[in-house]
Amino acid sequence: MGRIISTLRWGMALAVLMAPSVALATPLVIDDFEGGSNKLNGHSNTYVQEPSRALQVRTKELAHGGAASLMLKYDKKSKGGPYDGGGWCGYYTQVKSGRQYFDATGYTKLTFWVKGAQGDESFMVGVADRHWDEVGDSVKSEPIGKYLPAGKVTTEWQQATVPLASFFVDVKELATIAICFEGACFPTGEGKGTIYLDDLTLE
Amino acid sequence: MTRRAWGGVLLGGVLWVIGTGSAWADGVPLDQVPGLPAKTPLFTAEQQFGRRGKIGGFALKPSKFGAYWDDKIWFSGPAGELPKHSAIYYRYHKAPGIPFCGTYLLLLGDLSQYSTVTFWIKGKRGGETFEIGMNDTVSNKREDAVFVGSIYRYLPRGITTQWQRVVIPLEDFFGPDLSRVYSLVFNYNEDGDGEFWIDGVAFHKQLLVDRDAEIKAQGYLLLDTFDHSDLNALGRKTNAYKRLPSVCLASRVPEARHGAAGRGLKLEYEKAAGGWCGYYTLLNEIDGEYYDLTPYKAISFLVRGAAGGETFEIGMADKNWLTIGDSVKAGLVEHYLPRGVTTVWQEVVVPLADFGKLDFTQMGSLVINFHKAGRGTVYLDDVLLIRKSEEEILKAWDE
Repeated sequence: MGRIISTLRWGMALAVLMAPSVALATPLVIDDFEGGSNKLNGHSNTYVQEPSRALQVRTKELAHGGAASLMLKYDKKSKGGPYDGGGWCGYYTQVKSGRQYFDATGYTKLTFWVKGAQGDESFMVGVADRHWDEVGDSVKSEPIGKYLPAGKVTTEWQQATVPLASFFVDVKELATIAICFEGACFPTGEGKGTIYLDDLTLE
Repeated sequence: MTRRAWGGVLLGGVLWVIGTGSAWADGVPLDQVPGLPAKTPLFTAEQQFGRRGKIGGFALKPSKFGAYWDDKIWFSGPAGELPKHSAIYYRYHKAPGIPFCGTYLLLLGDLSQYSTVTFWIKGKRGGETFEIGMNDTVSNKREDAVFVGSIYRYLPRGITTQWQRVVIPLEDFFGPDLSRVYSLVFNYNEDGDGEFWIDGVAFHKQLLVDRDAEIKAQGYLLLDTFDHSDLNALGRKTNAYKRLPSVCLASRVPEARHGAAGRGLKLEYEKAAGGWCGYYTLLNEIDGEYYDLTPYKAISFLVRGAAGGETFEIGMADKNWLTIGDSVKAGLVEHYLPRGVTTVWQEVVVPLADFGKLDFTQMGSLVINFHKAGRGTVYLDDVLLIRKSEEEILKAWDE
């Protein structure tokens, strides 16, 4: 079994190496959180299933660039709700516009700035293409610490860099980018905190 | 400035001017919009007479319309920099009652990559009014455009004798297939005469309106003034509902207005022992997205009765309640007006918390329900959704 997985990994690595080169696009700021909506005409909001909850406020209390950032408060529970799983919570922003999915060909990574109110907050990044959009879910990254220079959220601004390739989605038809407070982010399956995000960008 | 420098394109007898460095220039004119997708089904008449940029109209006598290209009055640009060209001129006479009239501009294009349509407008006397609609190649065949509301939704002070820019997010046109747009429609739904000019129709990939920011800045959303359209300020449908033998008639009339101008909502009801009746204003798109009321804390409206002493329930429905065709009632109007409804205007403020455990992320409607047997008339005006302040949002989270 291990050999099969190992072979698969090498196969994927070769596939990446042999993939035709794609012209890189100039960075695209999806949202700098200065206005009421993102820059691609898409809606943004929290998603919640009780008993978990989340709150989003475009705040001028803190900002990395400009005058405002996104404050996300989360309270992920581990018990109660559907299947006693504690429900779910997070934040999404649509990159599709109406029926028009977003073609992210030429972009290789998603970047944004993040800091925590206390430090050690955690979440995953979710990305949905047309398929995942239709089922109302997204493909999750690993916990955000993996993509941060300090290895975890701190009370200082850090830039997160998440490779788009890690999501295995059809980048030609992106629908949504999400911040997901998954139970797997927290040792006990539940967590509560506040994070600030700024300058969500495709590069 | 030469025509060449402006990249003008002669289309349908009009010079569609493309400039750079002006407010006009941040979109593309109609001639640069992709055409209809190949094999788009079109009637023979649509193929023969449908031409991009064509203007025209429709009317049932004695209502009338006029539509032509005017090379004497046109928008010269924010700084007067545009060369001479022609503007669209529309004229209407809307007779009272059923006889209708409207005008159109044929687009015949794929707008799916655009987010906003803009144009400049100027009235001959000011105060001209119409509802804006769109036809795709399907709805055009059944003559059933999707309307998004009055021009006042986009120009709160209305059309004046000065050129003003109208900015309409294309997402407002929920329903039409934006990849197969046939026409923009101007429906003259208010009795009277008017003449106005339209110029510089342009399409933009950017969403040029930040409505959340506007609402946040003013602290409320003015959901309905009942002045100019049967649609509310979200572009959603409103109407009376009834089950016989109970009945309710809703009309927008001057006698129901609060203030010196406009109209208000007149509800004439006769609630019998059986059946039900009332009025609703939708917050959701039919078969589309529901409305997120979580940033709001209360609804407010003005009310007076024809005789005084009228009573009704105030209800709201989220997605689930809308599905079963009912609503959760916050309570009787008397609960919010200690002296009850009188013949004098009073403001009713209902905290959303009074509606209990609705899913405020997916709201469907606001309801006035006549529950008590009897007949009467009430007048409503200026329905507001009052937003929470940032402090209130954070306080609610902590609680």
